[in-house]
Amino acid sequence: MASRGGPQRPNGASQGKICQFKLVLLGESAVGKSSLVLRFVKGQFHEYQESTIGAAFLTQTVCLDDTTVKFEIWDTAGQERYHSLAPMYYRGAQAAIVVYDITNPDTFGRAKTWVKELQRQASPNIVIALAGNKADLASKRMVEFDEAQAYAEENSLLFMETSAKTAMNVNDIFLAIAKKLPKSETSGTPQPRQGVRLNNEQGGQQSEGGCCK
Amino acid sequence: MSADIIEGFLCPICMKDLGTVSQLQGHFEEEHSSEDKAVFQQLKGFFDKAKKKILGDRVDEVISPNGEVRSSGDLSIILSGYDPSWWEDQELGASRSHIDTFKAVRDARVDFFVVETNKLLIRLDKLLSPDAPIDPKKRKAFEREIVRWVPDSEVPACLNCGRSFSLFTRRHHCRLCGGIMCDRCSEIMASSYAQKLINPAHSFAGDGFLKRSNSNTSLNSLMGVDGESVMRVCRTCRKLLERRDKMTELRNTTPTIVQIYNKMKQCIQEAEQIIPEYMPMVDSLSQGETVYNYRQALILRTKLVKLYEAVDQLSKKILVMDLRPDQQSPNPRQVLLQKSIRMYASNFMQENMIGLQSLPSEEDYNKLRQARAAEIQRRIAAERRAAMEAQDKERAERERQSREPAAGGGSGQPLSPHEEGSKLGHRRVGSGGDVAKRKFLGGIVGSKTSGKGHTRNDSDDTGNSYGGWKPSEDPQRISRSNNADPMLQQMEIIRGYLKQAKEAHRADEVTMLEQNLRDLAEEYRRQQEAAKS
Repeated sequence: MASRGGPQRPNGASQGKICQFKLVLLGESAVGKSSLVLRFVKGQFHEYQESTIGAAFLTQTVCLDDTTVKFEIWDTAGQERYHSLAPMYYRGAQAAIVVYDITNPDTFGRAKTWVKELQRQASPNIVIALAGNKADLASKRMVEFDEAQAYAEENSLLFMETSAKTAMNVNDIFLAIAKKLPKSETSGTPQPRQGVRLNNEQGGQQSEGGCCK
Repeated sequence: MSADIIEGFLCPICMKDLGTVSQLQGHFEEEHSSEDKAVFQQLKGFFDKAKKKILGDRVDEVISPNGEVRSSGDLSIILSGYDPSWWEDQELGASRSHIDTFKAVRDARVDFFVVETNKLLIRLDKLLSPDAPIDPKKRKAFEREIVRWVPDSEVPACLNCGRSFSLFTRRHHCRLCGGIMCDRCSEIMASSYAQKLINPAHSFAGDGFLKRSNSNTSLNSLMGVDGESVMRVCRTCRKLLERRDKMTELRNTTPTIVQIYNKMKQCIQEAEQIIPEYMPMVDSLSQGETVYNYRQALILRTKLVKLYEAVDQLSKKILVMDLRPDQQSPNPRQVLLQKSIRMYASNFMQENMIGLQSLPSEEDYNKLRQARAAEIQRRIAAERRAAMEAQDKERAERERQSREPAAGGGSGQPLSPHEEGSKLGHRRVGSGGDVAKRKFLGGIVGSKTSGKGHTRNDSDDTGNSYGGWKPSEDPQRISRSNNADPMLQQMEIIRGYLKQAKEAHRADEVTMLEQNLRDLAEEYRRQQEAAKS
């Protein structure tokens, strides 16, 4: 398989499909969103990751059979003061990872509200994944695996417990998302189209506002 | 609830709510005009007065003086305050400044004291003039010429203690105001103190006022016990004079502690000026450089050490100083102040003196200088060599790159297959089976091996490898983190990313980021508009 992947890749741009997906990370602050994405994109882990300001942007490409999936990742800041930015990023996103910290039940509660918000506000066919991060701290676990899994199944979310520190399930969760995403849209087209739709949406809201005035 | 506040067109007597003014008027006329007339009259009188007080002339215009019923209607209106035209908008939180009144009172008082004291000082000056007669009789006449003495007959008793004057309780005159008091209530002022009062240059130490001698004759008003000439004054004059004395003292002298502190501050300031001069000197000299003069550095160093010593000693002096030797227990605030000063000084020394690098000895310095000269020679040679090598390498690299086809597309992290394998055992949710999963992994791992020697190592921090792209953090992110609007902040961040993406020639990322920047700008504009409306 590895040998087949080799020649395929350079040609992939012309032959195979290239899909580009916007993915957003949401969750309470300090659950490990940035660490998760840094592990996925750069393979690094910083014990003292600085808290994100606004939203960080990263990209990573993965290969799925004959499809190249390019993730356009928006890593949002978890702090409450940046909450107003989040809709900008989950609007038009094809995938979202809602992260919580398995050692902190409050973050699980916050993750649930994020899921609810996504289900209400984001695009209807968005792929949502729930990630219970910091799985390496199993001794301090406060959120049970089964509980989270039951919740995920109820809401038909992808669910994995991850650890950015040990890299456990980090690539897996991104790959699982990539697999679940529809691949019919090809090479770059989804992005502009999404953008246009988004603008239309905004335009509609604006005119509504005008009426009320 | 009984405590509820009722309001409306209430009859003042039976508390019924009548709904309208006319109904209330009618009700009052029918039900209560006959009964309780006395009470009503009383009430009316009271309210009339109140009305006049509150509304002034306007009331008189509206109320007809003889219409009893009519005025009762008006009365109810005033009671409940329903007619807004009656009331001006009340100013909320009205305040009144009493500062001017206070200032006027205070100024008058200060003026009085100043004038009074000045008068006393002028008199004192005259009384102490060198051509004043020494003969007691003549002197008395001279004194009475300057100050009008109150006639004995006007004062039957001491104005201070109330003892009536007799043969044994004699009248005494204050030489400054001419007032009368008994011997016990008079004060004896030393003339040297008086000299100081009229001329601040005149030095004086000790008590300005002497203890009264036992004698009660007025003759000793001229000479004190120890032969110094003295003057009899009343208590009021003494107080005024002493107050003036204290004020001039306060104005003219700084307390010792302040003087010492100022000296210490001066030393610290001097040292702080020298330190930045000295530090680079030492650094340079101990490297064996010849930019600075060795002797000069030595002089600066001695100066610094002396200044530090002075600071240390002065602050110690302040610490042990007893500010009020006359009182038994020192004021805790003063002690705190003294301790703080000492702490400040020792902190300053810890910061600076302990870090004070010592100069190398002159001998060492010469050795260092020679060593450095040799080192420089060596380095120049090495650099020349390195430059040549670098050129060669660059050339080789260029050749190699031109031979190699450009690689694009996805590449992943250096994941070890072993690690991946172990992960497969982990519980997974999602629709993918194990086979499918291995396929992804094959993709990611395969792409890695296909990288033709471009496998990334973890130390690669350029954020610009194949596959994953991550803009580096702006070094100014800390300063930015306090920005007011997260939206603007985010736009700034995206601009930074965009710049980096352009520099890295990542076309896709540039497109995405530009799109996002447009979205953000649009969203921000929308927010601003929403906020405005």
